[in-house]
Amino acid sequence: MTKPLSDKQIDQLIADYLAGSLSAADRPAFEAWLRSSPEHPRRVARLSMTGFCIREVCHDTKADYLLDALNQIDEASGPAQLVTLHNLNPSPWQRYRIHAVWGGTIAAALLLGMVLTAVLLPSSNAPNPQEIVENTPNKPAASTPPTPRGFTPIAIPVATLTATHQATWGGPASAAPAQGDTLTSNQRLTLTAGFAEITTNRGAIAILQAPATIELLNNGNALRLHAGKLVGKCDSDSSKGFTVHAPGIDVVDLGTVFGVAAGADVMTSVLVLDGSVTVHPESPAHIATEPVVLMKNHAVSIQPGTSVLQKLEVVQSHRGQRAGVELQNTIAREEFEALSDAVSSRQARWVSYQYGLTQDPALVVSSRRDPPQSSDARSGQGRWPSTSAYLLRGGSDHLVYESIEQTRSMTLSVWVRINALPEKQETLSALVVSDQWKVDRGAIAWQIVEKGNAIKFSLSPGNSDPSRLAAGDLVQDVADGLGLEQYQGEWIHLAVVYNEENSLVTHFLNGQPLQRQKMAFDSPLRPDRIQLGNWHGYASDPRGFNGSMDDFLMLRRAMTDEQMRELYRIGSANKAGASNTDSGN
Amino acid sequence: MTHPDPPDRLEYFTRLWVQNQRAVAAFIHMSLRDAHHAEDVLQEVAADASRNFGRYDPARPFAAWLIGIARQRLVDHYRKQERQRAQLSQDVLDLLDQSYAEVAEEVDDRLVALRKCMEKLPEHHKLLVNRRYGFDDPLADIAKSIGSNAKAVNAMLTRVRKLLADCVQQRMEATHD
Repeated sequence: MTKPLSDKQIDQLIADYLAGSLSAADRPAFEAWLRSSPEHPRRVARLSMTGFCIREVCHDTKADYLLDALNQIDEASGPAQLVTLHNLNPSPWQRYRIHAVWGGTIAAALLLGMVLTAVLLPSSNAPNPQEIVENTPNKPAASTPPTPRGFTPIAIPVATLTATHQATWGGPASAAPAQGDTLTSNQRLTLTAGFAEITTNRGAIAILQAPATIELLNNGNALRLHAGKLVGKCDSDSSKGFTVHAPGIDVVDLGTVFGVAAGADVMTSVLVLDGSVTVHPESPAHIATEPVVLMKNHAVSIQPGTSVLQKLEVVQSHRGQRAGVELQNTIAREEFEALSDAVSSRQARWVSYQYGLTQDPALVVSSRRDPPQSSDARSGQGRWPSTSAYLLRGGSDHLVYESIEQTRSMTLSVWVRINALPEKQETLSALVVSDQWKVDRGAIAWQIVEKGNAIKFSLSPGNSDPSRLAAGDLVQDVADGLGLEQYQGEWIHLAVVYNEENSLVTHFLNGQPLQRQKMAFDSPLRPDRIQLGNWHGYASDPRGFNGSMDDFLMLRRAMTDEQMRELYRIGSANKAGASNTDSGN
Repeated sequence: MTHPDPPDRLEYFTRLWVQNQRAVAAFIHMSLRDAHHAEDVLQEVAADASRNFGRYDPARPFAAWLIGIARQRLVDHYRKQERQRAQLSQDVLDLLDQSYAEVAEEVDDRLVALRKCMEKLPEHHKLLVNRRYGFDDPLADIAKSIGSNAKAVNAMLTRVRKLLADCVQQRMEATHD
C-alpha cells in the first residue's frame, strides 16, 4: 500500500507542477492524489489562479499608470490613436502588460477600430490659443549659444546622476553614466529604458522617463529636453529658475513641480503639478513672445515653430477607459505625478535596504517590520508619499516594543519630524526609554533635552527604589548645539551608537556624527522592554515627544559611521515627500 | 433572448468581452502558465469569439462560452507543444481543466480578495512580490540586492504565494457564508 503524501510533499508537488518542473518520478503520485478527491484539482486551480491574480495586481502599479498615461499623453499631443506604443522601448514587464492590454482590448479594438479611427481623426478646427494668465516674469537664461568654429567647449561639472531605476543608456556601454556620476555641461544623454534622476549643482531635480534624450547646459541650472518626458522639481531658493528648454518652449521653474513631454513628432506639453512656472514660447522668427505664467493644474501644449500655446485640460485618467474623443486636448495629471514619484525608486531601495537589515541577526526591532506591543500613537503621513508613520502628540502618547534583555553594543536610529519642542529647559522629550529606566542597571534613555538644543543618551546604574537615584548617578553623554528647533516640521534622522569595544558613544544627525565621547559602563546594556516617545506618561514627569516617528531601528551592534551615512543616504526621502503637512488624520 | 441587430451587436459583443475577458484570460493562463503563449491564445480566442458571435446562445453565461472556445484553442496549442501537455494523463488534465474553468469564473472576486490580502503583507514581502511579478525582476537580481540567493528567494516567494492563496480562499469562503 502506498504511503499517503504529507502536506509538505503535496505542496511541493503542486509547486513543481505549476512551475513546469514536475519530475517523471513524481508524476504517478501527483496524478493519484489529484484523482483521489474532487477537492484536490480545485486546490491546484486555486493556487494557479493566485499566481495569475498576483501578476494582475502587481501590474496594477504606478509604473502601469505611467504606461497608460504615456499613451494618453501621446493621444493628447500627437495624432490620436487607440493604443500608441510607437515610442516605447518596453521592458519585459511592460511587454507583458502591453500584451495584457491588447488581450483585453483586442476584440474591442478590432470591432471599434474603424469607428474610432473615423471619430478620432484630427479636427480641422484648430483650437483657439488661450492665454492662461498673468504677468511677465523673468526671461529664462539664454540657451547655450552656438559654438564658435574651432572652439571646443569646456566640460564643466553641472549636475549629478543621483538615482536610476532599471535605467539603460544609449551609446557605448563604456560611456553610460552610473549612479553618483558627475555630469558635465554639453553632455548629451539618451535614456532608452527605465528612469533616471539628475540633480543640478544648484539643487534642481529632473526625473526622466525613457525614452528620453537630454543635454546638460553650462549654467548649472538648465537642461535641454530633446525628446521624452521629465518632471522638474525646485524646492530650494538656489534652484529657482531651473529651466528646461524643450522644442518650441522654455519652461522656467519658480519653485514648483512640473512635467514636460516632448518629441520629434509630437507637440510639447507642460503641466504644473504644484507651484508655478513661466513658459516662453519660441517664435519661428525669434521674435520675443510674451511669457505666460502657469499655475498649479495648468497645462499647455505647443507645436514647435508656431508660438501658439494651446490650453490642455488636466484630467484624471482611468485605466481601461482612455480611448475616446474626450482625450483630445487633455493631459493626464497622474502620469506626471507618478513620474514625480519615480524617485520612489529611492523608496524601493530603502525598503530593500530594510529588508536586507531584517536578515541581519543583530536587528532587534524594526518598527516597519515589528508591530508595537502596545501603542496609543495615531497614524500620520510617513516620510515617503504613500507610507504612514507614528504620530505622537505629546501627553501620554507612546509606543512599546519588546527589545532585548541585554547587549554589549547598540544602535538606535529613528526618523522624526518634530512638531513642537518642550518649552522649558529642563523638560525632557523621550525618543527611546527603557520601561525599567532607573530600576535596572543598564537601562537606557535617549532623549531630547534643553528645548531641542541637545540630545542625551543615558545609562542607569539601577536602583530598586529609583526615587533614590540622583541625576548625578546616571552615566550619560550629551550632544549639544543641535538647534533642533530649525528642523521643526521636517523629517530628520537621529541615531546614537554605543560601542562597547571602545566605550564610545556617537550621536548622529542626518547621517553625520555630531559628537563622539567615551562613556565607560562596566556592565551590559539592558534595554529590555522599551517605550518610544514617552516614559509612562507621568503627569509629574512629562516626557512626551510631539511629532512623528518613522522607521525606528534597534540593533545589538554598533553601526559604523559609513554604515550610518549609508542608512541616511538610502533612507532619505525627497524633500517634497518629507515636507508633507501632517494633519495626523 | 436574441442578439441585438448590428451595429448594436458590435457594442453588445464588446461589452460582454470586456466584462468576461479576465475570466477567460485566467483560464488560459492557468492552463498554459507561459504568459506569452497564453496571450497568443487569448488573442485567438478574441478573434474566434468575434467571428462566431452569431452562434453564441445568450441564455448561457458568456464566460463559459468563451472558455469553451479557449479549450479548443488550447487543444490546437497543445498539438504544437506536445512536450508540455505530456506532463500529466488526459483524465487528470480533464479534472484540472474543469477546476480551472470553475475558478476562472470567480476571478474578479478573487482579485478583490487578493488585493486585500496583499495589503496585509509585510512591506518586504510586498516589495518582493512586486519586484518579481510586477517588474519581472529575475530571482538572481532580487537575491543579489538583498544579499540572499535565488533558491532562498524562490522558496520565500512560494511561501508568500501559499499564504496569499490561503488568505484569498478564506475571504472567498467568508463571502459565501
